Amino acid sequence: MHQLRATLFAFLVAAIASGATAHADTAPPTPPTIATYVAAEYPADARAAGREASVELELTVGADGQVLDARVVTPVGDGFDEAALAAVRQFVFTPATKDGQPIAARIRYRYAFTLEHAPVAPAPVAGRIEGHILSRIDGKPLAGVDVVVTGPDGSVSRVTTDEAGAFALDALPAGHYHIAIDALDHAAFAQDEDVIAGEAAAVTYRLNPATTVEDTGSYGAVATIEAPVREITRRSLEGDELTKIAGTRGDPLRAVELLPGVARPPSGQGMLIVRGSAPEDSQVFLDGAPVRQLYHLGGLTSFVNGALLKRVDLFPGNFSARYGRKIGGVIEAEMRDPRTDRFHAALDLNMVDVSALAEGPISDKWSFAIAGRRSHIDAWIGPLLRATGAPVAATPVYTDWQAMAVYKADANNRIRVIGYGSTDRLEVVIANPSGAATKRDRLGVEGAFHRLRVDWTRTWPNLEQSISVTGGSNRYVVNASELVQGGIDGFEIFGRADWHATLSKYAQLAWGLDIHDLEADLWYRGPHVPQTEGNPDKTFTADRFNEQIVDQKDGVWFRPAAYAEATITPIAPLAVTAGVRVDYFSDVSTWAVDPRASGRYTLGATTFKGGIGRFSQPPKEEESIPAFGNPGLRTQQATHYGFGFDHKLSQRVSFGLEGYYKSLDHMIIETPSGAKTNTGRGRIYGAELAARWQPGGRVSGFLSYTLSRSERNDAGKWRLFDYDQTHILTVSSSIKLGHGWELGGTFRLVTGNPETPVIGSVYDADVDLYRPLYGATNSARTTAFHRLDLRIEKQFHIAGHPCAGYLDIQNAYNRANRESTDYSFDYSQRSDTPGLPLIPSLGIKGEI
Amino acid sequence: MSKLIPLLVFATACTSSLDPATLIARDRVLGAKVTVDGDPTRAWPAPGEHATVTWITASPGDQPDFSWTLAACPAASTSGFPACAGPVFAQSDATGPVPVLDLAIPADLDAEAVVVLGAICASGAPVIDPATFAASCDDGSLADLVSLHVFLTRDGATNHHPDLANAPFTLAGVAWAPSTDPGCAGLPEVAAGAELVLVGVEIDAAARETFAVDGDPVPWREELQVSPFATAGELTQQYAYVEADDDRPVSPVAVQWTAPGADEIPPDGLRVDFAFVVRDLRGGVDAATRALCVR
Repeated sequence: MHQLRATLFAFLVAAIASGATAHADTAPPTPPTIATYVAAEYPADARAAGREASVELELTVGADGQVLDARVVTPVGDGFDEAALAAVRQFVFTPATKDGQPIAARIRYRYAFTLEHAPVAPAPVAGRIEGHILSRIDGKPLAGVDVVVTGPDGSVSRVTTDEAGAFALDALPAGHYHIAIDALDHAAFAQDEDVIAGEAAAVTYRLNPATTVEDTGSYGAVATIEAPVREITRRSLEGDELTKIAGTRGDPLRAVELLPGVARPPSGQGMLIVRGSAPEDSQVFLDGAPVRQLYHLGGLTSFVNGALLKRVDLFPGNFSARYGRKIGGVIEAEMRDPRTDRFHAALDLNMVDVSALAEGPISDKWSFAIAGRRSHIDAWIGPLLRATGAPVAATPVYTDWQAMAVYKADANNRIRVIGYGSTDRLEVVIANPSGAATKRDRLGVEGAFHRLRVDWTRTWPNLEQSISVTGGSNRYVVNASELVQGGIDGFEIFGRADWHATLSKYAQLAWGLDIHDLEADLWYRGPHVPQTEGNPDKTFTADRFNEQIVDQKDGVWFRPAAYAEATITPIAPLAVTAGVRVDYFSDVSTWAVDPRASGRYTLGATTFKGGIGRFSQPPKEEESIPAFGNPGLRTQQATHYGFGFDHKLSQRVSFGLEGYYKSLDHMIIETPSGAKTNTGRGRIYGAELAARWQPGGRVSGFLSYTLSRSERNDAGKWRLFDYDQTHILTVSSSIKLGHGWELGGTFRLVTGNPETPVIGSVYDADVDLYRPLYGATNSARTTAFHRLDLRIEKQFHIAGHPCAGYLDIQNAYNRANRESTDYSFDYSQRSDTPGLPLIPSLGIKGEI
Repeated sequence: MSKLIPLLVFATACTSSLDPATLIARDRVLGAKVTVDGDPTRAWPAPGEHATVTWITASPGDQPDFSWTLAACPAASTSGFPACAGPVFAQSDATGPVPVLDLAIPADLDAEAVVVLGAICASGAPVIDPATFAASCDDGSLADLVSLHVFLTRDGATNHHPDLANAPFTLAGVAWAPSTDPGCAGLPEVAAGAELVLVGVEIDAAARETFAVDGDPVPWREELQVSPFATAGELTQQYAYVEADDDRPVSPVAVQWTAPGADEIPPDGLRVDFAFVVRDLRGGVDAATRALCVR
């Protein structure tokens, strides 16, 4: 059994430079494309000997599309050269054109002879990849395009598109696949896809045109460019990385914390600190809609089931004008579509929570997915606390849910209805044996949000459109001893419309609108809440004689925005993107106009990139309301500068280096009198090194190193930012050991966080409390943090159903990292507050 | 499992090696009580009146002679970190068994409160670094830098001290009388290592005044904060409260105490002294002591 596979590819030639002379006022030249493909006959002796080969040919295609001449550039023998020549001489092309007129052209063509190997052992479960390859310019199918698919075990399969541009690969073991496409007259393209047992992964790839065809008399050559990108730095997690990185407990959004430019949050605190920015200065989006609360219970786990995510992107700075209202970074999580081959159900049970997922087809155009999760800590935390003698009772409970219905009218039309939500409740009761009123002994935190989203994606030959509306309720309540009470209860809606047009092979344009509207009641009763960042005094003493009372009914925060962004590719290796975003913030009656620009220049396997942009962020909801904040506040602003390069060592191995500087202006700070003003400043600079070994083979992983300094100035003097970390080194890798075993490890070495030393204390006889006297803010540091996390997983089958057991070990060598300094009641004694000890987490998951 | 971070942090804090606030491990200050000449039940002096600030102290052993330097000035605010809004008008540098400051409130003082600042040493003389405001004793020992707001009677509004000295205490549900005898003689006994022994006091509703607050037509009622201390063993709470909305005629307040283990007990028993300080959080203060013997 054998098959012939052919690969067509274009060579980068020295004519790139002269390609820049192509005039925009004439019709761009086009290369020849295959109209009729003829398969070659596999040489019998070579087939018997199991030999494969690729024959490189030079073809002269006439103005009528006929192959006028064909010659072998690099003979390989064994009958391959002759067979290839015989086949290609029967090809018929759509001729190359110049100024709209057909011309003769000379091209290079590689004909690959590949035997289809019988599998050593039949895969117990297999899937399929099928799809179409279309031209992004006119939407026409591309025939004769070679699709190279690299499997998770490193095996390579090839398939060629038929006249409808269709291709398919069957009997693929489940796993992560890398798909590479080289088309004669189009830019090289690569994409990773997951093959799931029993599922047909249907894909449609639209290839960008090659930059130009140089007319050299009667002959031509083709240069290719990468698809234009709008951000200078995008770091993506996909496939196995989403759920199998050691130390993340299978949470894709926790894995983002390991990427370059992201600082390590203190143990137990769920926050994203991107390039030295405050956690509230960065935004997580789920399919383009902002997420208000990312983590359960202050960092336990993120709110969305990782199995439903397709990819998570981190834009640490200089992000596209599509995103706004934040001056730090952006994380975009993308949900995948439900599987459509048949019904699937999965269960994951571990020591903290249990989750379930069901998905499948409803009809040939409709599919669905539904997932839910609930923690079960509350079932055993009580006995554990009692056993340790702790005088508290705690009932932490969290849940989350996701539901999705997808309608695919055709390959170019998709409508999704998605619901998701999350609830958290934590109540801590300190034992009070007196039987007296115990309201001081209770701490309660409650949060919930629920969303309904409808999105419609429509694709035309040179235009993509995405429109979505996301709306739902928010409720967050804090009730500390009933002496400190606060919360927000409201409804918010987020609408977004994005268009992306390919105007020509030189220009692409993206534009869109997004509107964020929050209507909410906001209330607070308790002591003044001081600025937290840069303020070492975190004590929060109830004082009913000096409490603030805020009751904002029917508050409205209306924030519309529009953006436009153009990407120009004047010559093959250069892409320049310029955009602008305009925001309005009704709460502070302020407009913001943020111009942004970036550029990329590709030289061989190296791409140089740089960018500059302006970013604006409104005050937090509570910061601008009367009695609590200052309605006269303005937006905070930042200017991002970045420059660096990426270098691709091979298809799967790459590295990059990037330097950045961020200037922060009009930062909201609190004056000694307690008033909020826009008088703060900040500066952040550093460099990031990222090396990556893409999933798809036996070994994958990444190395990231960040060198940074983040400073703030809120009292006329520069000081370190609370979470400044000079060095952040992360090495993470995973290896497939065979027989279903997979071992992963993550090692981190991070500079200790800044802290403010206590140099004395004052006994406050009014309330029987020692108040600390502080030295210079953030003038000391905790010791360096290092930790190794391990994860081992074994995949197996029960009655034909895939299952896996996993053990995730955090802090494998039980390093006693110092997270902060703990002081005695009078600050005369101090001790280290240790981070997490060695913690194993055992889980099992299965699917039917 | 790692999702139990907050609870593990909590557990870590519970097992901290640092001295708890409730343990009298050194000579220290537990509070301050203001008494107005001619009316010792009143906590708020009026401008022109004379008052005395008496610091409540406790020691793990014999009471030492304290040295202190204390000063009073008009307060810039009535809570939080102490700050002066005017010049010092009273000062005391002395040595004795009980730190005190005599306050002659100026008749023309235009302030809501007076702030008292100073340092108290159990040995040596206090030294305050004017640059850092850190205090020490000149023999190298630790000084207590202290502050207190003394509210002033205005427009007839005043405040009285709660009464703890005459309140009935109980130990494990049994009446617990004060003792002035040294040693273990005559004291109630508790077994070494006894866990979660209930230490309580009943506070009469009369100890809590009502008062008017600007902008609120309904009078507020005082809440009481009780701070328990012991020279040995472990108390479970730093504070206990009678809440403002507690309308019972008698409010029980209790904490739990675990006795030291047998290896810490001398053959003739260990005397453990308890101190209790009650505050109405408006300047009213009272204190009481009790003792027991662990065998």
